[in-house]
Amino acid sequence: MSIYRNTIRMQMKLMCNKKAFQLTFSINLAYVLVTYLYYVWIQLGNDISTITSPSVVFPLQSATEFFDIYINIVPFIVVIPFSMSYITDKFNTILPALQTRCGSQKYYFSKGIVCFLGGFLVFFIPFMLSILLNHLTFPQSGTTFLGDLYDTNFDAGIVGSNVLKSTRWLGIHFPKLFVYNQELYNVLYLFLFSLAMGLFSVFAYSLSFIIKKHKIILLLPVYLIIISFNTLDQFMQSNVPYICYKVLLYITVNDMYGKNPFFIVMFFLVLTTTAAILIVKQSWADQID
Amino acid sequence: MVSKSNVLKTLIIIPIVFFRKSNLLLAGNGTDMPIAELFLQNMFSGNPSRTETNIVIVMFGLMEVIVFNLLFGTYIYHDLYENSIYIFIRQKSRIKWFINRSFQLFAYSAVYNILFILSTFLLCVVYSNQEIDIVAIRVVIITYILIQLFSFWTTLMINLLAIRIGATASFITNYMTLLVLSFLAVNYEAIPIIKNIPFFLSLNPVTNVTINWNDGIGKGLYPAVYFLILIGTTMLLGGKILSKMDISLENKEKNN
Repeated sequence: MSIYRNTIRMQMKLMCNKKAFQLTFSINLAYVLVTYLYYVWIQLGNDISTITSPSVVFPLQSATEFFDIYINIVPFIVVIPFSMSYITDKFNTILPALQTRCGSQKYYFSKGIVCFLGGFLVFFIPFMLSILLNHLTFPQSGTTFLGDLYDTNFDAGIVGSNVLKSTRWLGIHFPKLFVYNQELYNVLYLFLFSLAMGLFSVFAYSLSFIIKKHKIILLLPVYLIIISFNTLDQFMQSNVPYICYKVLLYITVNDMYGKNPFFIVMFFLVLTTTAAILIVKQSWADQID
Repeated sequence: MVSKSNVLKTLIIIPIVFFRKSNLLLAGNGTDMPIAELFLQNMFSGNPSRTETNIVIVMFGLMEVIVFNLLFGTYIYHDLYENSIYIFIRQKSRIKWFINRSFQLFAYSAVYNILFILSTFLLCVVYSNQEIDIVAIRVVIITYILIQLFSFWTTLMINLLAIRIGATASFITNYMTLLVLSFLAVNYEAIPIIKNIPFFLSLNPVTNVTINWNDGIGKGLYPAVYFLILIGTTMLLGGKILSKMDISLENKEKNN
């Protein structure tokens, strides 16, 4: 167990010193800061009653100004933190040295764990900072991403009674938490988003055993998966009952209808199982006995 | 030399197009929409108008170009970091070598985009109830030229930038620039000072990929000439960078 801990610690140190990890962290930090500064700037000098609540300017909320740009980068930056590290170790010919020190199986599993942690932390920390920053700056004015608390359409937005499309999954997920505290609701979504990013990161890492030659091509699989499901969603628009297949809409804050929880759980289950199989297979393949 | 892996990379576009445009095959009844309009709608994610779209749709429409960027993003750079010493002690002129490799990349890009445009066009012909007319052929040719030049230029930029910062960072930089340019194109009317001068809009490379996005300046000729100027400048710049480059180039792929 202690060898595992030591290996994970060593891989964590390696990851934190990598330019790729720092680049992804910087992109996320820049995004949350630009969003924050933009909303501070446009609301500068406004009366306190008209300034938006901190939960409304949360950068994972799909109506924020630069969200559309950011969500397009996510499929690529999720791969960068540590998923390519196996290829880098091979390029640098330090793979045998690392495997001799900690054992082949421990090397692969610990790298998988660090990949998950890297993917999780690189998104969680900057966005958590953004929540704190927004909370310190903006007043609780009672506005939410579904409108004003006293708006006549506010309830309809929560339960989804304003949706005309034929679908079984109406309204937002976790409505009770949303009504109780929008900040906690955002924290929960941030946790889910970071968790999903961690899993995508591990998935990309497991594919690095197949795509060994060019690191840049490793950026393709997660992007293709997300785009394929977006295309599927386009085809299934007229299906009854409608199910939303846009994966990233499930893990960000929005009022999209048709979000079937079973679909998203199955999606990440399949992704994780595939990654686990590939990692176990690779760790066995490198063993002599 | 044509390698098997590069041919496979080029052919990957066929299943992608058939999956992405399979709504044309699966939909039972055809449409009475003119083929040219149907083709444009399917090329650019259903909305060829700049002011009625958003950045997510624009990037969704450029997916095939992005896939090409990723597949051939290290086509020239790969040779540089793997075999630069062997190449440049035999090759007298580095610029000549770079131009030669650029033309090879151009050829792959041409084949990739022919497959992309032709398969999309064929699916539209099958789905439409209308006959192929001269307008449709003109639209297909113009779209092909613009997409081809754009995908070649962006891939060449990725290869060149990779020499300095590595392939992954190079792709991310290029992609983020594309996103910002798309954002500026879609929100052009909100930009102070330059919003009333259409010429500035036509300087944005993203607006020149799609017909009508640069407010019809030059009707296809201007965008093509503009891309040729950009490609020429990039090739000259690339040749200069290569001439000054240390022959024992450090492999940036090892660092990140």
